[in-house]
Amino acid sequence: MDVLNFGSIKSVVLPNDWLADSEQNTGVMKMRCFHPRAHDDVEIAFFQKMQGVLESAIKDFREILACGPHKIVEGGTELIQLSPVMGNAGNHQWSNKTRGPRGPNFRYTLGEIIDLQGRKVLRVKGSFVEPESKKPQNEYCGIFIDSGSENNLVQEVYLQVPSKYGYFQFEKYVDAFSETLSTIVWT
Amino acid sequence: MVETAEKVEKSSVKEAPHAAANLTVSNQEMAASRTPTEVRANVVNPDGKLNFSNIYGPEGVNPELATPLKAVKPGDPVQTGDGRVVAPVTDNAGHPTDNPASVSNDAGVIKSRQDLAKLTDGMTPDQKREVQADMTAIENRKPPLSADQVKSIYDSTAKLLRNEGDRSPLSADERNQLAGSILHNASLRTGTDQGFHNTCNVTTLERRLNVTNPAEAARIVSEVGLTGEFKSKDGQVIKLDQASLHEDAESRLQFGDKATDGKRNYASQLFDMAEINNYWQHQKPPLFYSQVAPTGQSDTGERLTYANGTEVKGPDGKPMRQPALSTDAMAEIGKDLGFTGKFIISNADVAGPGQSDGTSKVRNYQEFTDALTNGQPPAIIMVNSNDRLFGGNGDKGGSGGWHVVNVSDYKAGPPAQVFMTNQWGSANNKWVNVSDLYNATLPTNSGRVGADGQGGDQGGQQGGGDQGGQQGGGDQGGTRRGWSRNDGVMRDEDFRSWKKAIEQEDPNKDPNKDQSKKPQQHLLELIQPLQNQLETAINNHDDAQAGILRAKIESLRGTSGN
Repeated sequence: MDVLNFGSIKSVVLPNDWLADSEQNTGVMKMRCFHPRAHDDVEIAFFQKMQGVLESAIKDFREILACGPHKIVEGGTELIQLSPVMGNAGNHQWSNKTRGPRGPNFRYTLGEIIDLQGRKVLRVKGSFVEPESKKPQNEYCGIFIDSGSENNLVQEVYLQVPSKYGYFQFEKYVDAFSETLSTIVWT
Repeated sequence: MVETAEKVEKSSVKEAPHAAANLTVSNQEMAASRTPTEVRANVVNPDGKLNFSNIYGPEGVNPELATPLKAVKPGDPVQTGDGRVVAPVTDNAGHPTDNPASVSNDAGVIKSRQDLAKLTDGMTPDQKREVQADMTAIENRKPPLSADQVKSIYDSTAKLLRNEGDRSPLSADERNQLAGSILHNASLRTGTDQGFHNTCNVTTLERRLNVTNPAEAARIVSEVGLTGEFKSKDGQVIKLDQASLHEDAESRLQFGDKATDGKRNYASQLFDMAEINNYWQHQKPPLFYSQVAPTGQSDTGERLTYANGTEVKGPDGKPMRQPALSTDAMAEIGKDLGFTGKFIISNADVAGPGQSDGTSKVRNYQEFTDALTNGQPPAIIMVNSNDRLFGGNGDKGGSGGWHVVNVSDYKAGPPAQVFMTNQWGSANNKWVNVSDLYNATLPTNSGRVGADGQGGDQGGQQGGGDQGGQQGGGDQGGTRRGWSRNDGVMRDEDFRSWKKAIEQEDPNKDPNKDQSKKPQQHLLELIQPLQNQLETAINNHDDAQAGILRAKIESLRGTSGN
């Protein structure tokens, strides 16, 4: 299944047996979602908030992308600088030290700048958790794309799998997701 | 909508990437034009029908614009409501002078200000500085707020900070943060933002209240912060989810910090909780709106539930994670806030036929400009978020969700322009052509007018409400009939049929006690919105979506044995 024209993405090929949900284009986000026939709660989403991020945050993002492929070290300055562009995943254990119900809703496990089909993007893995109990709810793997110098918009493509399916199932879907990402043709 | 390569080849006509540059002026120009002492000429079209003076008063100055983003600095001369420039009402340090024209010198205001200032001792120096700036702006709003308004804002804020009887569910730090954001919203120094929540609907009402009656906005938020509940005008106590009263990831950002631009602040969070629940807890069945920690990357954390905590489903069968309001519902909330007249403008082909208190449903450009003329500022306009005006690509290559914005001040032009306050951060508050704003209210590309308001389908040829299906233009996007998941504002027709359906779905209802609805009628109410969406999908040539919808409709029919 081909998906065309989502911001910086000219085209991308999804697994054949995945189904498309209707596009969402609300006052706050634009999103196209796809899910496998077997699990309609598993999703690969093409996602973009309608609001740009702050000037300072996009500047940091661009500078870190420009450094080329490298790991984003846990607890490092770069991770804190990148948090504002990471949306809900930016509220993680390194950016929010609060405990209890106001604690972080994302557990960050991996971040790196990668070269994806000739374009530098930020790749992040982790889990959405219930802030108080820390119980994992959704496993997450996604990329963040600088959508261009003419605006402050950040586009995302992510895989989200309910934690109830277990980590091995998640990793299987990560393989399918990675294969999908490898077919991206940029505008 | 999934587009295939084949389809894109067929519709290879490309639009200009973004026409926004032609629609707006720069922020610098905007700031320059917002000089508070400027008196604007009224907009009068060649036919004489579009006269904004009815909206903006005899001087043509809108109270929202006149209350400047470019705030009056301490020591600046001030222009009074009748246009006279008078001596500074504050000295360079922001302290009131003895100018009797200043509300700052009202004895009641002075006392309330002093009381409030004493209660800010627990704030950080940055917070205190910000509170001082907000109070200066509140006392220098133009036209000036009455002394009673200013006093009442201060007293409500002080009451929250004082927390007599220690009954507030909020911590002292949270009350400081809430007090600061109440004053900030009343100051109008910046826009009022929705952040990453589907709350454009109530945010436009909150903005309007802070322009027209900021004392009431302060009272509502202060009451919620103090008691954890809200008493509506009919005396009903509106229960609020206690966890939703605490700061979320956006509202805990320090008020006044640049990072808050575009984010929803704490006062707005509690206002949203109070007013959305005020509406839904008066409905049958009563529903409850709350805010939880997001469980995924696109989750705004909003939840709409029945009394037993079960999530309410949208017309597509998925959880309705948004306030779920139509323009009619917004108008009801507005009336409860004390708004009168017709303050919400939408296109009849989108919102549906019929007028209700508080709403104008227009069919063409002339009716749109007439509605602006007859309304009270700032008006609330229902727009397509996928329109070029909002950085979208019109109806080509995607379906837009419905959204609302405030519009206020104007420039005569030509072309005539209004100042739009969006809820997406300061970069989105800008001057737009009245014609472009009208075009953004349309359900399709057809009927668009030029900068002079000419062209398009004048005189009601666009289709009317239920007959709107004739407008579909293949790849041009169809009519946008039917509900789209997470529309910021629902079409009134869809809203009414969905409300009937959820009444039947209410898990708290005893089916033995209510035989008023036959199963067949219930089924039709569930299927109707899906059929509307199917029609839209077919118009859009969205085969994948059409397939999903057909399967859902067949499944529902199968379940009932029909």
